[in-house]
Amino acid sequence: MHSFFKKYLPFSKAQMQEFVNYRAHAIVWVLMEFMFLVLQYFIWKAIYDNSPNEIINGYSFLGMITYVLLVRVVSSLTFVMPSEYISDDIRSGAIAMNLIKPINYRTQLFFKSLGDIVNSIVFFVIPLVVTLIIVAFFVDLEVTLTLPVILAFICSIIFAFTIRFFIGYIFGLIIFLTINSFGIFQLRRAIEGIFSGVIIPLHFFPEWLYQIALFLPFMQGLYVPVRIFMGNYETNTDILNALLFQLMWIGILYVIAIFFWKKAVHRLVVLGG
Amino acid sequence: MIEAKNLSKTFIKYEKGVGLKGMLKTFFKAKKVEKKAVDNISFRIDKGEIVGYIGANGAGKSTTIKMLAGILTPSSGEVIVDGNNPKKDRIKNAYNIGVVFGQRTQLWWDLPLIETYGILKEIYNVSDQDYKERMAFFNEVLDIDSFIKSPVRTLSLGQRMRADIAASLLHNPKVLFLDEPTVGLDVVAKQKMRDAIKLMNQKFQTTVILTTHDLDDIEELCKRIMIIDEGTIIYDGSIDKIKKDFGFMRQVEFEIKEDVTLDFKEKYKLSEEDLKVSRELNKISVQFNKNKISVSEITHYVMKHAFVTDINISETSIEDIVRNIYEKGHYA
Amino acid sequence: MKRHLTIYKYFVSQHLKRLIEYRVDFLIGILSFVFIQVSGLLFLYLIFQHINAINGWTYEELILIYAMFQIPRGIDHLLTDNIWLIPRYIIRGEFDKYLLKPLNVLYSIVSERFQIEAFGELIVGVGLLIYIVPQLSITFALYDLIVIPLLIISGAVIYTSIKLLTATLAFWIKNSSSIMVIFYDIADFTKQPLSIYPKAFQFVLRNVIPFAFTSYFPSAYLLGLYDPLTITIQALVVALVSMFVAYRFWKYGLKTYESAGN
Repeated sequence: MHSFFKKYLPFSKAQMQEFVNYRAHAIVWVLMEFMFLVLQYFIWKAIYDNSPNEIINGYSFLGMITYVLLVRVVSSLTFVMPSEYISDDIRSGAIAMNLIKPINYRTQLFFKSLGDIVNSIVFFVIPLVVTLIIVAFFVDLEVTLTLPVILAFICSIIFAFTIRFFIGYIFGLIIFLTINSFGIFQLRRAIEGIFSGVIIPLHFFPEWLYQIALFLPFMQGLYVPVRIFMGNYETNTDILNALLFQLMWIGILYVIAIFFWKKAVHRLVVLGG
Repeated sequence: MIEAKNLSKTFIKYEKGVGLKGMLKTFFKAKKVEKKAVDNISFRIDKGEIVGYIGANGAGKSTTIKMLAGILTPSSGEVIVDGNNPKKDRIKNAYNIGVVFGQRTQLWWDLPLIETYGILKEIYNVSDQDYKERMAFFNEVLDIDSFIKSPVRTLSLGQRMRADIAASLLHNPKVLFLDEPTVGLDVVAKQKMRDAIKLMNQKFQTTVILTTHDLDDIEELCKRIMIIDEGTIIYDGSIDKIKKDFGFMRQVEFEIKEDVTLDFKEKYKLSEEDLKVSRELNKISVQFNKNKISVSEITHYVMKHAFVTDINISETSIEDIVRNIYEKGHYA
Repeated sequence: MKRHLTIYKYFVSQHLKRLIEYRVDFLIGILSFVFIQVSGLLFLYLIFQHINAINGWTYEELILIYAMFQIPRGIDHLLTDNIWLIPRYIIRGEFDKYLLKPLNVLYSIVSERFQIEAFGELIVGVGLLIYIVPQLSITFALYDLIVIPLLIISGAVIYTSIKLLTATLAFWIKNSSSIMVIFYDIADFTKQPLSIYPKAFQFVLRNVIPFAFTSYFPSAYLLGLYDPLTITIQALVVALVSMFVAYRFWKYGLKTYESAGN
């Protein structure tokens, strides 16, 4: 076990180090993310100002603000880019080397992603959470935190991270198989934007669209943890069901990942990189 | 054609902290480290010369070439290529130079090779006549017709390098910079490359600067070499001169049946310069100064103590000569 | 000049040939664009299930802004997409080859890529425009034949300028890709009427990172909120200043460029 971590932890560390090296980039990124939050605030403010109802689809204005903040927190806590790494490796040709090394490529990517998460947490989540706490002092953010909710949330985040990792990983392999990077990135970003709840809470969807969202993994990577935290699940059983559903998705994605991995290796062997 | 005057280049690098503490420190304030890659070098190269430029990795070869090509600005000093300042008169200079970087290609990755030449023809204003002639020439010497329709990304290294050299010569540049052009190539490909360079030089008086680790390249192509070490030029002169001055060096190789201990030093009391012995499995390699000790003495000694199955006597290779110069730190 | 056009034609034809060859890629590209467009329109649609107008702007008027948003963006995407890869070229040492050619470096980079996929954005923009204009009782005058193209071109120039400006940062910080994306994404906020933002933001979107001139102001003009002369002059000035600043910065970056190691 110890040797396992010894082998793979350096990848996490390398990611953290890389981020630190690009300080201007890091600071700008953080500032900009904050800016987006503020501007989202204005869009929703305009919407609620112009709305006859105080509550839309179960969200009050403050609830919506909480939602938006949480979406960013959870996004950062689960931020992974394995597809970018795979794409880079393909372009540079390093992918052939990576497959030969006595290191499991997928695990390597996983640990790289863990390193990214730490960066995310240190540079983004912590300031964001501090902001949340400060705001919570002045404004009733309509969030009640009980112990089960917190535990479930942590659990859900871990699942969500794994799910998003696998999604990215699978997309990375798809990129490898179709040799079109940017198109697939765009596609994934667009689909994920709609169906993960980033653009609009999924409860704004008409019923049929919501059903489709359930059939996709993106909701599990973002919307579910956010809802848990916001206490939108009525009973503990509901929370448990949500977590189990996430777990099921991990299983499904794992199988899909293996399928595409085999295809990718086959392609590599046949074409010779 | 090319003139470098007191050329220097210093790079500023930021030191990365080690470990978590170091990383965080670097985040807030990084330490500046100056590295002098090229230190006050000067040389002149005339039209039609083929000059070998050799040195260890990191010695400053690529930096020099990049300054000559106009990619880097010198920190101090001057460089003139065919009357132009490569950085200031970038476009004018670009018409005059051809560059092949061993590791990186100048071809368009996704396009069939033939398209690269078509585009370059437009970019460099090569006439239809010249284009036809030169493409025929490249095919003759480098045999590129066999893969000219393939996309560049499907080419093997050897094919790509040949294609790159053709690309660099398509506009018949006055100066050709070659940065490790034969690295990773098989013997046949290397020979083709050398032939192409030689022919271009003969026909068009193309001035060539060639950086390489392959000393066979040097032997075949260059009459003059410059050796750079840690940013300074430690030798600039003809190959013949080096050979003459080191002409007293000889090398004899023995293949022996069993391993024995031989102590040359004890017996002959000569310095490393005059007598150098290296061993590898069943081979003993002796480099010696023929003025200080004779081959018969050495042979006699070895044969007395070991069962010799094969002997090979040769002049010291350029490689060893260069190594000696490195070790000495200068050429006296 | 003729030489430049010939070179450009070369790349365009190559790109077309490649697209036909790699149909799958092409289709994926189209698909992803469809999704992106759908997501934007979906948001508007879902929101307007619950409200009638945002600060006086109706659903149809927001669609107009959305349509006008796509067109300059599409033109910029079509012609200058390679600017996105500048940081990558610099990091990988692939940038040098542009310096070795007897061609303007920026032109060399930009002409290599002709993103036909961007026609998706243009088709959506123009299509939506055709669909929504009749519903908005907009009247056109003869001078609109000049005004509207000018506004659109100014918008495209603004996009290119900002892309170029942020790409130039790569000369110093190497990986400026994320900064490029973030600045480019700021444009998304001009999908909404400016009045929903505080004055400070409006100022930024109008005068500092002037994306407002790509979508909002042209739409506002069409709806009769501004007169043609003022809006055209303002747009042109903003576009020219943006390009000037970006290009000068680019030249400066080129000068100080230190080629990476081996």
